Order: sequence, then structure tokens, then C-alpha cells
Amino acid sequence: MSSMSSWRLNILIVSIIMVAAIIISRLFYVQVLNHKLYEAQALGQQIGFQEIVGNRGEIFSANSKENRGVYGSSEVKSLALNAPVWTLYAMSDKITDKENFAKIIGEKIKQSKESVLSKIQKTDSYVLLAKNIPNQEVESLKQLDIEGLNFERSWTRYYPQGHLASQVIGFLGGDNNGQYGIEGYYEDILKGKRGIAERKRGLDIINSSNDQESLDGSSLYLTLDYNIQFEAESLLQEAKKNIDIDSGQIIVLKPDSGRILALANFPSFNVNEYSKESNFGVFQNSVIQKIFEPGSVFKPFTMAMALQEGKITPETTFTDTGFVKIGPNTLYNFDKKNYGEQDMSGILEKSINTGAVFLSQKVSHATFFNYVDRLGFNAKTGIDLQGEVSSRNSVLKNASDFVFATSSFGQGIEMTPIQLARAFGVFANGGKLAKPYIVEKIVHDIDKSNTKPQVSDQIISEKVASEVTKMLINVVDRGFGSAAKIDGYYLAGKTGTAEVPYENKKGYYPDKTIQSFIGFGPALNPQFIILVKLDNPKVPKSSLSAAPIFKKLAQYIIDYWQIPPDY
Amino acid sequence: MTTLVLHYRAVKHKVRSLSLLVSYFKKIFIVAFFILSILLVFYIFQINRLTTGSYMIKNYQKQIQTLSLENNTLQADVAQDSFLGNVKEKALSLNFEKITKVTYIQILDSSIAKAD
Repeated sequence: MSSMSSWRLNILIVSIIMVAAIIISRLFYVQVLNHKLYEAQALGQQIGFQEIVGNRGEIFSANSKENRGVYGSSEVKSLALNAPVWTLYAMSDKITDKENFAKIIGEKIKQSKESVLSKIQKTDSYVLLAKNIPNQEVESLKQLDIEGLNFERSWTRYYPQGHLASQVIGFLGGDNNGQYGIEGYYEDILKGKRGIAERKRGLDIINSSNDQESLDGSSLYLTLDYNIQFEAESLLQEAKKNIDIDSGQIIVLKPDSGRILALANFPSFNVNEYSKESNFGVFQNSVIQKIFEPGSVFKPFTMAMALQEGKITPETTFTDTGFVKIGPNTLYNFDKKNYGEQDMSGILEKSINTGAVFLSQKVSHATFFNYVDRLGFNAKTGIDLQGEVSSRNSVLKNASDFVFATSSFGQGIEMTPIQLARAFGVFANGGKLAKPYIVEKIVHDIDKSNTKPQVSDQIISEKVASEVTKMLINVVDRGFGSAAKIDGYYLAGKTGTAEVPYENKKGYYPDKTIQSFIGFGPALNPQFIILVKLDNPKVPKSSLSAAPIFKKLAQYIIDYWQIPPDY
Repeated sequence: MTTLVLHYRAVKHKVRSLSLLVSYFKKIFIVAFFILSILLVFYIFQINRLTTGSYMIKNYQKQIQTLSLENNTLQADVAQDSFLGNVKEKALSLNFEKITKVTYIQILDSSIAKAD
């Protein structure tokens, strides 16, 4: 009996050992010899791979401390967002009561009952009902819990401010490429990247990590001050109503850094409905893409050249006879008046053309051209917006005495509004130019990079800048620019009413003018530069059109920033 | 006689060692079975925890998705509602007037007590 038991035990032990050996050898085969095959099969079951595209970066107006000083608002406003939209499908074979379905859905998606009915009565089981349905509509549809109705989500670019800063922001075209403005210039930075996403399934989801690099595009924070931008655009709309301008632009920037606070254009367009625009010209940002002859707003530059070269002093006198002869041509003052003896400030105060010719004749053509070049009128400003153009003043290099004479008061010389605004900063910034920029901060995940302001070397001396500033204060206090005067504040500025040259031939339109006013304030501690440019307003001169708009905007900024009065 | 005794001793020793093995095997078997049972319970417990965890992760991922979608929608709604044009219209309809004159009060240094 005992030997029998021992025999059974031995069999059991041997069997266990054999089974263990089989299992171990099988494990060796699977885990050692063929591990790669089974590892791949397991990965296939546990992890899924999917091609994805990161979201496009968004655009905000930051209203940062650098913009607003101590008291301004710091609210961040969204200018371009990614918003969810839905596509609606019907699965016609799952709809029980098609009449009722068509009635309810038709009302919700603003289609006739018949139209919906005709779609769902087709033999196709999967029917497209509507595209681009906003989220709110879909939420209410989901609550109805209708059988046979399906939803598919996608993303669209949404511009919540509509018309505001439309030419500055640009838009996302049908091919998903940014066009115009910020959307165009920063396309590579805003665009989401393509990549493969790893999605773990089953229990392996526990081991998921979030250390994958984000494929989303970077978001941009602009230097634009939302409130000033809105006010500037409102003023242009008002100008259309009151003085019937064809178009107009306003630039507001910080003179010490070149930060753009507002770039307003009229007319503008609703960015969300850009495809409905038939006039593609409206997409262009005239501030950086349209060249014009500035007229008398150029005179302070001519004054600065003569002062800097030591050819005159502010006390130098000049006697105006009402005209000046240059070869066979005669140049007159804008109002055909004779102002008699004037000091240098008087030339700017009364905007005397013959006085500007007097100043230009004090410097050589080469010196004049050199200053035009150094003030940046021959090159792009480098502002971070798509499609900037620059003037072609290189023809001035070998121009006649007459062309130099007219250039001294801003006719025959050309520039973009942004070139003019940047150059005018030379008076507000102690003789230095600041490069204009509009993107303050680029944010990608937790990384952010801030734009550093770029300021040029001395173009004119601080003394000359200060002397011209005093003359410009006089222009506003007692000269042609008095419509821009604000009680309690010293503002420096200059009016300009320029003739408009024909596009394809020599000469100027007899009935068209460009009226502008450029200035800065407070003049003794400049915090903003404003350029107001109005194309063909139905008043004779800029002191009746652009200067009052400058005043309103300057007053708005002074109140908004709570700038204390000078006196 | 001697031979028989020796043979008996050898057989007795063999039987003893075999019964020892049987008795140890039983103990080993019981201990192994016990350990296996514990491990099995532990395994079931762990799998249960893992399943709950992965279900919760999936759930949270879904919630994150829903919340970020809602966030996007709200962001767009807030941006639209705070559009200054709408605020301006609302202010006008409530008969609010634009400030045209701001007066600043001048406070002399001597009129304020300093809290040093």
C-alpha cells in the first residue's frame, strides 16, 4: 500500500515538472525567441495612432501695463479664436416620423420643411442637412433627442470683434492659410503642426503621460489698445458721416518704443464674412500699403534738417512774398496769402510753403536726400504686418531744384502713413526713431517671448528735436493747428492738406485732397503720437477735418490714461 | 542475522525518508496553495483597482474634452458680448452720457499726512 502511494506521488511530481517544463519552454519561445512579434501585436491592441493637426494659435489684444501707463484698463480682449461648429447629418433609415422630423429640424436650422423632407426621403442612409451650425443651436437640438439625427464637430476661425481692426488682423482663407495682417505675417507661428497622436487603450491608459509636445500654434498678444482702437475707428465712421471722406486712417503709437496702440482704417470689413466682400481692395491695410504725398506735415522735417545743419536758428527771420520762383515755375502758399516777415516758428504755425522752400534751399540736395533716407522714407519700417510697401523716393536723388523745392513742403515726396508716423517720432523721442511693432508677446504652452523695442541712433540732436517741438506747440497753440488745442495740455502737431497726384499721368486732381494732422502729447513728456489721415474729405483744409479728430482722440487718451494737465 | 538486520535498517531508513518527503510535500503544497490564493486575491484586487482607475481616467478625459469645448464656446460668447460696440449701444439705451470734461483735484503735499 505504501509503495503504491509512493508510485502515485512520483507520477504526480513528474507530471508537475513536465507541465512546468512545457509552460517554461512555451514562455521562452514567446517571450525570448519571438518577443518582437508579440510585442508589436500587443502594442497594436493597446495603443492606437492617429494623425492630428494642432489648433491654430489665437490672437488677443493685451492692453498691457506698457500700453496703458498706471491707470488704463488691463482687460485682455479676444480678436481671433477657434470656435466649435457642427455639421448635421440625418440617418434616414432610423427616422420613424419623417414629416415631424423635417418640421422640427427645419425650424431649428432655418430651412423649409419641404427642403429637409426632400433630403431625408432620398435613398441614401446618410444625408447632410446643414454645415457650420453654432454650438448653442446644437445644444438645443441635442436636448430634443431626435432619432436619426447625427452631429459632427469641427473648428472654425471666429473673429468676435467683427469689423474692428479687420485689416490689422487679416483672416484665415479657405485653404486654411492666413491672409493679410497678423494672420498672414505670422502664419508659420500661428499654424498648428501636423503630428501623430498616441492613444492608449484598455488598462494601459494608466501609463499615459502628458509629456507629448503640443502641436498647437502659438498665441499672439498685440500691443493694440482695444479701447483706443475702437475710439479711432468710431471717429473715422463719424468723419464719413460728417465730412464724407472716401477713406481714412488713424495711427496711434508710443513714441519711445514704437508700440502700436491703434491702426484704424475706414472702410473696414467684417472679418467673419470676408468671402462676401466683392471689393478686394478693402482687405488692404492703407496704413502700410498705400503711398501718398503728405503735404505740409512734412515741413517740420525740412525745418529739422536746416536746424541740424546749423544753417538757421529758431530766431532766424524770413520774409514771405507769397510766392517763390524756381526756374520757369512759381510756387505759392496754400491760401495764396503773403505773410511778410516771420521767424522760423511762424513758417510752421502758418504753414508757409515759401518758407519751407527757403529752408530747403539752405541745405544741399544731397543733404536733403540723406535726411529723407535717415528718417526712413526710403525703406519699409519693418512693422510685423503682411504686405508692407515703401515709397520710391530714390528718384529724388537726381531730381531738379523744383522737385526739391516742392518736396520741402511735402509735395513730390511720398510715403506710407506708418513711415510718416515713425519719422515724426523723432521729435517726440529726443531725435531717435523707434521701429513700430504690433505683436507684444508670443505664447506657446508655458513659453513666452516678448518683443524688444528697437530704437535707432540719433538722427537729429535732442536740442533740434526740442526746438522743433516748441514750434509745433506754437502751431497748436496759436497757428493753423489750433483746432487740436486741448485746454490745460501742451500738444505738438502739424496740419497738412495735400493735393492728390494722378495715378497714370503727371499733375494733380483739381478736386481731391488728402488732409492730415500729426501730433503728439503731452508735448513736454510725449506718451502718444497720433496721425489722422483723411482721403478727400468735403472740406477745404485739414484744420477743419483732421485736426478736430486729432483733438477728440487725444482728449480720449488723456482722460483714459488720466494724464495730469500741464497747466 | 547480521545481513537481515542491515537490510531491515536500510528499508526502514528509506521508508522514513519517503514519509518525510510526503509530509514536507504536503506542507509545501499547503503553503504554496495559500500563497497562490493570496496572490490571486491580490491580483484580482489590483486588476479591479486598475480597471476603476482606467475608467476614471477615460471619464476625466471625456470631461476635459467637454469642458474645453464649453470653454471655447464661452470664450467666443464672452468676447462677442463684451464687444465695445454692444456696450456702447447698451449705454446709449440706458441714457448714459459720455464724459466730456474731467477735472483733476490738485492735492498739495502738505495736505496729506504721511504714514511713515
